[in-house]
Amino acid sequence: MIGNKNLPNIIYLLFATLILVEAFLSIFSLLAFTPVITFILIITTALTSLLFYFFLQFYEYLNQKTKLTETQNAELTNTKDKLTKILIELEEEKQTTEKQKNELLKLELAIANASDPIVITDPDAKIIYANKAVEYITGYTKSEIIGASPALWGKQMSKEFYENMWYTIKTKKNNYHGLVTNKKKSGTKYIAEVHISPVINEKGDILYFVGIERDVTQLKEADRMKTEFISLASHQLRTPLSTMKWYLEMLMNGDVGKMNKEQNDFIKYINKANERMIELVNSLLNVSKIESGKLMVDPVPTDIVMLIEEVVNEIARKIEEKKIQFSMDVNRSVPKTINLDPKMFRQVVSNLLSNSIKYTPDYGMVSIALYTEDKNLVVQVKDNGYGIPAKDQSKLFTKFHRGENIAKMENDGTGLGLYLVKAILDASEGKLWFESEENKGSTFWVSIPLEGIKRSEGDVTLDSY
Amino acid sequence: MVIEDEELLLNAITKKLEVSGIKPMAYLDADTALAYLMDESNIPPHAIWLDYHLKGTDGLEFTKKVKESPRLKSIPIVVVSNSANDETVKNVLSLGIDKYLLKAEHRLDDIIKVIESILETNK
Repeated sequence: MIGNKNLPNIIYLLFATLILVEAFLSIFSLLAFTPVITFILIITTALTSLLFYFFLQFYEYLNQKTKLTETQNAELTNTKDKLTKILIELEEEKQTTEKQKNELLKLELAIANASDPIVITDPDAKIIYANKAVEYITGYTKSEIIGASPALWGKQMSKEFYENMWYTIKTKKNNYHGLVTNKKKSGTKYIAEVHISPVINEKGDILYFVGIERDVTQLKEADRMKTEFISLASHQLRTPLSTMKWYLEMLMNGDVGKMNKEQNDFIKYINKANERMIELVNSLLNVSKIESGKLMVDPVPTDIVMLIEEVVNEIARKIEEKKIQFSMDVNRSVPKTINLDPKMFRQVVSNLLSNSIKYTPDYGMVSIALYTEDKNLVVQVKDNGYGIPAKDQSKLFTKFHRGENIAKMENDGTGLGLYLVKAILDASEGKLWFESEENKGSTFWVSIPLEGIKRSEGDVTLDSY
Repeated sequence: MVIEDEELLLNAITKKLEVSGIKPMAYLDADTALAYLMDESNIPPHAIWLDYHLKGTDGLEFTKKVKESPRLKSIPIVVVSNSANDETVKNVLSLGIDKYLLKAEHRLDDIIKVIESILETNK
């Protein structure tokens, strides 16, 4: 290789030797007075030197050329490497695009074939995409749907309803969730649960609306039938029970004449059985309500002390009958009002207090205390009654559970009270716990946050008027 | 005035009211009761004990009609029913009735006490 290298030393030596020899011979022939030979030798020396010069130049030229070629080669290699890299990247991109295309296809298939109607509109509610379910549910064809607005199968609700929906998704740019009645092409109405979400870019502009519907007509119909059945059952079952309750009351009061002791006792037994039946019907109805839907929690500022005093008044008769020593203590830290659902809380307190009284023998002790602890309001109901055996404690909040010890002594219990209490507290951020020892008594605690209970949407409420 | 479509219950209520010294006007249906009330020559009752589920005009309709009449709207109405439907209760409470009580939950004594205390308050 020539390249950037100098001529090998041997060449320099050769040329130098040749020129020196020729120069020496020239001098020698000059001294030998041989002018012709001298002339020839001088010419030869000059020619050799010239040749050497041209040879050097030519070598330099070759050097330059080689350097250029090497540079060009290096550049070509660089370019080739870059091209190879680009080709690899292109290939990867092609594969990514293939993958994305497949993913998009999968997504499109999933949306196209979903059983729920899915619609995509532009910001002005003009439909740009509708899946197969839209056609199936509404009865309109794709050609009728694309370009139209969802009002094609809507317009069944009030003006305010649609104004509120539009305000939520377009002005507030929030997701909307609600129930709407729609109308199919055939004219049949149906109830749909809708979710509408705005799709927004980085600048905050709405690009699309995505609406997903679910036909809940049958579900709502089933719910309505359940509610109606419960209402009917409650009315039909309670009517004969009320009749017995009031006639027995008048008999026991002597409103229609005095009875002898035995007659009085018999009437009392019938009355007790009737009261049990009433309690069972109430509990069963509440349990079936809880199981048929989500409990609605409707908190309002409630004077909790007054609520508890009202409950105590309702059970005052039983307290008197059993000669129970009853006490109520309210700590100064308890606020005047607290946000809770009074209907539900009344059930909780009533259940706990009536359990305590029921499962405490005559002349026993029942107390209720209210205090605050760690940002919670705590209600404590304590008795020195029969207690709950250890083996029964884990099943305490299950339906129809009654401890063996009290079932023997007291027939008067449904086994549903604590199940209901637990269900109520679970629905309303409350806590319930207890301590108990057989034949020593039980203490139940209920706590709810002092800041109050949050409202909760639901389908059912409990009886308590 | 007592409006209750179950005859046995109506008899029990009127008997108890009599024993408690209150003179009852007993009606098995709301239409007959309304006919009495709308007749201006009749003395209106001091209070109305109303069942909700009635044959013919129901408790809700009856309450609406009474509350629409300037002469009758101040008569306290206590709905005593066995219907536990929340919709029902809400509907009738929103019309301005004084109390809604579940029959099976209350003794006759207690219901009468409620009516007497409402009458005391209204005096």
